[in-house]
Amino acid sequence: MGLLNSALHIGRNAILGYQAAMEVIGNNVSSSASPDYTRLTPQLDPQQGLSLTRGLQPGAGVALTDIQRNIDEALESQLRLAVGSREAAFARQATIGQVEVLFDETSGSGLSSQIRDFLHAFDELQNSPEDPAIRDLVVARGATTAQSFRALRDNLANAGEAADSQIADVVAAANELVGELGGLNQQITRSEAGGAGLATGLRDQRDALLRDLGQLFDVTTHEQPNGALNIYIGSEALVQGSAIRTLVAVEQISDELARTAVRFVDNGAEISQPGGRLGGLMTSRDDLAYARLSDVDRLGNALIAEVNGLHADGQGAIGFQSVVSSNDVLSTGAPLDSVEAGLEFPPQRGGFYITVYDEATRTPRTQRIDVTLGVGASGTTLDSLVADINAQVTGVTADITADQRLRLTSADGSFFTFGFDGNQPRTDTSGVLAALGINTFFTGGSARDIAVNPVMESEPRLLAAAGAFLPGDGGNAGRIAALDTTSSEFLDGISLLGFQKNMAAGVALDASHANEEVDTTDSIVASLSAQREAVSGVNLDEEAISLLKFERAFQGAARFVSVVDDLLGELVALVR
Amino acid sequence: MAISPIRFTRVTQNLRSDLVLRTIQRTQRDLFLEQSRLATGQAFVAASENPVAAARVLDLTDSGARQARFALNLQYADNFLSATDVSITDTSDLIIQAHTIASQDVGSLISADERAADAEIIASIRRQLQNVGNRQFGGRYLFAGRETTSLPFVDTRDGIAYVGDTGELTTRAGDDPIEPFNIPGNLLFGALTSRVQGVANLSPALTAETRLEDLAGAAGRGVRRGVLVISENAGQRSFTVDINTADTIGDIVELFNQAATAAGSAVTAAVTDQGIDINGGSSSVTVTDVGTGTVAGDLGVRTNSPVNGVITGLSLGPRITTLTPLLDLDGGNGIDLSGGIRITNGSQSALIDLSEAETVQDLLNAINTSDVFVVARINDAGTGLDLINQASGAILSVTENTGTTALALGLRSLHEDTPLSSLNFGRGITLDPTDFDVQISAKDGQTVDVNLDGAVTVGDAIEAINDAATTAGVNVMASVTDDGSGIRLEDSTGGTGALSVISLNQSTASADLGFTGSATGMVTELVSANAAGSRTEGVLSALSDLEAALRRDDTRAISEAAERVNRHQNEVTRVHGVVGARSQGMRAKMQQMQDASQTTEIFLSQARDLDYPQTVTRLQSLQTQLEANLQTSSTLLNLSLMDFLG
Repeated sequence: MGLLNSALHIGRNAILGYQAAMEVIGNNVSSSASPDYTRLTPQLDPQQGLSLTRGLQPGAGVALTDIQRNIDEALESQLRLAVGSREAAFARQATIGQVEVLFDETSGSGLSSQIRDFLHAFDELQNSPEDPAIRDLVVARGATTAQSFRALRDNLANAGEAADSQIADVVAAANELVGELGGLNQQITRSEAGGAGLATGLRDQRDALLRDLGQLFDVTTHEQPNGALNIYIGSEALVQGSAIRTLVAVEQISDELARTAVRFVDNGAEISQPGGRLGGLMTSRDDLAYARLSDVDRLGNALIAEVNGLHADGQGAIGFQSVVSSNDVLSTGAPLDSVEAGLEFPPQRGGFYITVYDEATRTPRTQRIDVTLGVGASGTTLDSLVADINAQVTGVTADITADQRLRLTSADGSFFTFGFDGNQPRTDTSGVLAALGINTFFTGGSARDIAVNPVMESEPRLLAAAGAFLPGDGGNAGRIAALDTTSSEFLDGISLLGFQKNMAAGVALDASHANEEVDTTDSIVASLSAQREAVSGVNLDEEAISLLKFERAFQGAARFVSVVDDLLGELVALVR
Repeated sequence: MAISPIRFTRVTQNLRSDLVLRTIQRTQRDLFLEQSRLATGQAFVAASENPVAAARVLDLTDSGARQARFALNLQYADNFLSATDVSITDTSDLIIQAHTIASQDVGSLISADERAADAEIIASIRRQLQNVGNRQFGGRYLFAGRETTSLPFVDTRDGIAYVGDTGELTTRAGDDPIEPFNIPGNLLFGALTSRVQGVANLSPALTAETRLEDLAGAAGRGVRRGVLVISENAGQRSFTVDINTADTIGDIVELFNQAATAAGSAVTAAVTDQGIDINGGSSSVTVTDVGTGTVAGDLGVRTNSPVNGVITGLSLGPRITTLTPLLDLDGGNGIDLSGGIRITNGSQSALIDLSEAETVQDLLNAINTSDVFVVARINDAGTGLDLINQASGAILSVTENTGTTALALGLRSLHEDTPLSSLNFGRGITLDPTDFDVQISAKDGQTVDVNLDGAVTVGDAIEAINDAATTAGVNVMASVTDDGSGIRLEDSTGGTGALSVISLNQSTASADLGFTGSATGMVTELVSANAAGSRTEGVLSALSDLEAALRRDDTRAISEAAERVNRHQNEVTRVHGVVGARSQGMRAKMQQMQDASQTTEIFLSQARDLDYPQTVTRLQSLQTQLEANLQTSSTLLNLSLMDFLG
């Protein structure tokens, strides 16, 4: 009887084991569509049985001894990083997509078209400087160009700030995930305490959350013996067991642009180069939006400097009777090339010419005003410039306005011009007129504040088309028009249009690169996901086969129990 | 790029569905792109689709826009030239008509009344020419230079004056070339050809304050900024001097000495009255430029081999500017302006008071506002002053008021250095090649025969007269009058007869020197007319003279005027040719621009426009791909062993 009982025990073990295995298979089949699910494999091991005669041991059948999670931790880590890279690429693609639209030069409506049209309006002015309509056209084109600069800059700032504004959302999401991960660590530790077996469902949940966190920024992990997973950003721990650290998005403004930083709440340590979506947003903001904004500012600065430099040396159809510089100085007693003066375009050693005309006879009286800067000079200040003009120029009074600008006023019955000595054109070798914003076309110092000088807007006859103060002279306008190809010292020898073209081409390359990066990272994610699927995914056919296998084994075990039962019946019948 | 990896050990349900999803998404995205391209007709909708082609499109668009701009500029210039051409044709016709009348009226069969009547016609032609000269194009006076809003040809007491500008209207016709497209009135009618060219070199002295922009430079190309390289004793020590921040010669010297001190060198630079000297002390020094720099050459201190001692810089040629103080002129000697000058132009005369003048501009202003249709300006070389007569038909002469200001400024019409060949509007004087030329009859009845052969200047002629008088023992002496208005003959013979000068033999020198009439009675001095006056040698002037000659019934003068009219007809023809050539050049360039623009358009089309057959083929291929994907996916995804479990 003992042997028969042992046989029943074998059958019982097998039935229970195969039943459990089929439950595992059933779980696999039921979860097959979940991308986060890790395929389980039932482990059926032979059981130790009683000894038969002569010590022979037939065993006690099989039993479910383990349920294996089919997971490759190294692959999971790679996949996590790859997903983070793809998220970073998505962020960059989104930002550069916005930027690329702003630099759409191929449609003929981009900034380079505006600049070209503006400069070519000076061609028209050179051809017909007497025509008031052409002067209006030049002013209008200048205003349009200035507006385009400002709009482009604003849009680039918006693109950067759009990326920046998402950083706080990322941090909020990260904090929520970190909280959940800490909780799961606690549950897993508790669940697996004392070798109670793997908490597979909880681990699947934790892996899924970790993948979500990996989308936000790059993390590394280290599993503890108790099943808890420690999570790090760089060298800083984010989760240790059930203990978590919280992040905070700190809004910062530099150069009037939002640059949100991410720090740990507890010690204020800043997270730099975090990778993932957070890293993508930061690099999008800084390298794709704000960097282009700086380029646009530089281009605007060069356009202002080049146009104003030439314009200040020319004359309009009429002269000035009074003019106030468009730029102020911070200190009227500071040398004009010093930081204390605060001029956007510091002047240098040299001089400029003022010619005062008698209105009735148009008799010129010219004076050169020296600007003594550098070469051991004491340094011309706005105060000394005013004094020099008043002392040397008959018929013009200079003074400083309440807001620290230079004002020049002619005596009754006279007017004044610059850049012509009554005999030949004269360059302002000091650049002080352009620096102060006298007889200039633009105001401002960059794309942020570029605008047409209100003096020119209100009186287009002052547009400096001439170099010899004659109504049909468009020589100076021609020089300004030629800026379309003239190399600019403000742009390392590249022309204005060349710089804009390079910038547009650079944006196109960035956008192309971002698109390729998305494709590449997506392919890597696809590849790693496929590998993960190969390890951890569920194939229904495989599971069906396993199901059949375990069903047949179950049927065999049940049949064996039935046979043993028959044997027991026979033995019981002997008793009767 | 692979859609997904192809090496799998196991293919799971998720992998299958993912693959289907990704391939469908990719194909649909590609289809959308092709659809967008077909809808826009462009090879790429966003530049990022093909950055290289996009950059090329930008280049070509830029080129095309500039070509279009230049074509517009050339079109405008050509239109202006066409209007100019029509006016010159009319000018030519009028001059031919005047010449025809003059040629007819030279003949002896024409009566004085008929000539007087023709004089009216000539006056009318002159007026018509003035009207042609005052024609406009698009509101701009065609022949006014850059003074396009003012009448260029105005009436004066003596005729017509050109008060326009002599400069050119220009337009951009390419990246570098600037094309002039106008003919100033002075060129068309020769309206300003009379010029009193200052003979004195008034160049100011060089000082430390002299600005670089006011220097001609040792090589005549100004002083361009750059960097000097100083090497001592065959390279034992060297240093550079960056003069890019220099504004004056003094700045250069200061920068030089600062750099030398910083390098521990004893080499020094100093400003002289003509340039810069570099003193090497005990060192042998070479001065060179960096690379292809020009500053050492421009400063006249470049050395080909080491120099011991002092390197004497070449003259830097300081130029006169409007701001040059009059005291700095003539090498710093200054000009005595206290006497002023007198300008006579036709019937108008002005005394120019220069006592208040401090700068060259003051001097120019004083002359230019004298209302005698004379313009003063600094000559092109920046070494002196020129006077330009704007009035046709008027004779311009400059004489002293008191003193020698006009002479010092080099503006006096008549002085001892005046070439005889320049007298009588450049006709000079006619001499007998083999015999005496003039005879002076003194008041005591003695005569002096003078041979002027070999005389080149007025001074030479005066010397010949005085030598002949001395040789003949006749107390007659010639000299230029103090105010420079003529040649004075003084008779000290004590006679009471007439002092006179006549030409001898084939010579007309007496009249050519301006001697007419005689000094009689108590008058012992005979002064010639100023034969050194200048007149505008233009067609308006010639017509004015022709008109006067016709009224006077002076056939010799009519013949001379006819000759001048004919000469100016040739000049107008030449100017016409210039206009034609310019117009032809403009049109040729315009054609080139149009051709270039067309080529650019072709390249642009190749870079930007869609290749329809290729795109449609690709679209078709993608459609097929999508259909195949959908069909196979729907079949394969439905297959499972589960279906067979029962």
